[in-house]
Amino acid sequence: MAELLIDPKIRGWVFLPIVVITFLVGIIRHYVSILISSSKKVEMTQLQDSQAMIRARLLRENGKYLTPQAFAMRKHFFNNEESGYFKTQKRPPATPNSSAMLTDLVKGNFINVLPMVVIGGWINWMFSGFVTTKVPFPLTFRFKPMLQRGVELQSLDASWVSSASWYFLNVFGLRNIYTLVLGENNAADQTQSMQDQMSLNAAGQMPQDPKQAFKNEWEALEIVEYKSALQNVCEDLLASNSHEPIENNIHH
Amino acid sequence: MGVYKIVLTLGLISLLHSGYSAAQYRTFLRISEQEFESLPLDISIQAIVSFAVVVYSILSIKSDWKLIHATEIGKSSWDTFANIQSFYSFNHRGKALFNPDYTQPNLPNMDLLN
Amino acid sequence: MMNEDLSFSEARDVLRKWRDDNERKSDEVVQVFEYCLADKVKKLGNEKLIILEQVFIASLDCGRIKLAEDCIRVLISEFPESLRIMKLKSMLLEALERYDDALDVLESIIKRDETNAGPRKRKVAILKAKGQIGDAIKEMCDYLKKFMSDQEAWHELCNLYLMEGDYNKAAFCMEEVLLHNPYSHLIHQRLGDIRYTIGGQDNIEIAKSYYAQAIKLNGNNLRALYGLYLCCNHIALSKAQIAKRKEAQKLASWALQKISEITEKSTGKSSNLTGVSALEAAFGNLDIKTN
Repeated sequence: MAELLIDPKIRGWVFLPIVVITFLVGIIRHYVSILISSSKKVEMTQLQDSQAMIRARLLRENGKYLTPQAFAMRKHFFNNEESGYFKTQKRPPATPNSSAMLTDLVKGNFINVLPMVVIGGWINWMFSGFVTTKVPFPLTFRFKPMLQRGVELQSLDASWVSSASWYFLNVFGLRNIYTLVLGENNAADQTQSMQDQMSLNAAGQMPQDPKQAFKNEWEALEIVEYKSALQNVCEDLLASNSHEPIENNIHH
Repeated sequence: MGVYKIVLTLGLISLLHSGYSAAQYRTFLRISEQEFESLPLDISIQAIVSFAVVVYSILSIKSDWKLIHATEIGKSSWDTFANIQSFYSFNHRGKALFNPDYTQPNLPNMDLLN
Repeated sequence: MMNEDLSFSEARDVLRKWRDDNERKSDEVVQVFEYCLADKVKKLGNEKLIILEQVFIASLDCGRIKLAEDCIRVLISEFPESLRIMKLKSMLLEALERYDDALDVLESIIKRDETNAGPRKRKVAILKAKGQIGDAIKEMCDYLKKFMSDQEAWHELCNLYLMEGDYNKAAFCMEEVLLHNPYSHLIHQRLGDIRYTIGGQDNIEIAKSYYAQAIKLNGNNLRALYGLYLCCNHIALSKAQIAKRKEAQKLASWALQKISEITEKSTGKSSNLTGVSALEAAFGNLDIKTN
């Protein structure tokens, strides 16, 4: 393993500045995206559909606690051939060329990709020709082209990283730190109403193809077999009580 | 909570110290032209222990440890469960009971009933 | 009152706790706010607005209109165009019994944002406050056709149907709430209550299994134990199969024993023989007699 001694000036003038630059650019990007982004307008039908999907999913998961008739009623409501929700609700197919989606796409690209390209290029131009740092674990030969952009040495250990690659490592690595710094756990955010609004808003994220989603949900609900979880609950109760007093635990 | 802040600071200092001593050790090896095999045991142990201490104290500072939800299942009561905040109505006795400035509205003339 | 002695951070924490636990301690909220926090509102930082909202609703509960108006004035100055604040304004009008004005405000919010669920729910609340339960039910059903996984709304619709005595539909609504919270002993018990009230052999068997599940989830749910005892009594005295009747009798005696254990524990008297025997006699009067 080649023991290269790196000039400590590199540490101060290359290594740390790249980290700082990446971090600050990320924060600026976050705030710019907040300023630029338009508020997401959810369609009423989208919201209704996503709520229906949630209800169908809950029916599948927890339907065993209902009576057979109750389960059959709800399954009929969703899946019936003539009158079921998933069969009768016609939605226009999602057009990939709708203007709202286009602008969102362009904005997303602009915010995320452009700064990365610009700064990556600048770093490559400014800090080229030398090795910046070494990753603490040994890497195989295949990582060389990825990690050693700008330093064309065959014999150099793959653990040595050039500045451009260090920049990219930072970009991907610091993403989680952004959520830590920017999305701090706010005590003020945790009210029930906020969470309800959030769950209703989360319910508004409908996939782009309602027809396909309906079909999937219809199939999933169709194959569910109803099995009452409450059938043997009385025997279980008696059996468990001949041994010990009831504590606060869940029997299955 | 103050205890955890102190513990966190000590843990961080210890972590940084172990990192610094590792760097110093490597410099020493480089100067004395020895091969670097592994960090000495005490430095590694100090690093790992201070890391664990830092993690634990950060978690304890941010919030009290919460019971895993399943053990609290039996604790809810109708007092809190029946409150549906989106549907609160205000036409109840509260405005008479809890308002120190409450004045009774004008009552009809009771003489007419006699 | 002890509420005056809380420090600033204790007061803030206790308000947060009540928010998280969904408590409606309106009188205490108002007192805590007035004595501990009112002059230090700026110190609240991030929580200021959410606490003001909490105090606003609590003061409407207590009839403290002036305090409510102060709170909402601060909120309006922070967010002049907010739909959420407009909804709070309509709640203020509700508390003043100006229901038509409140409905107008809500209509304007809905027109501006169709997907906003809050004002639609307030409309139902206003109809309930006016006593027009039938209209409230209709409005709620329309709302649920669009927002069908809103468990708060299903819970409220269940209450409305119970007010009207329509127990079958109430059971349906409660089942929806159960789908969202399958491990809640309260919902199982409530479903047992509703089924038992509807009556009839099948429903009482269903009620028995719901009560048993509630007890499984929380062995101290006294209502569920009473309910189980009643259901088992009913089945034991009915014309069902022998095996079922025997099982019901065993369950009934177990439930009775558990009830007397819990009652003795909570009344603190170790051998309250007169009390327990009075309890047993009272059981007979609890039963819904079918003629």
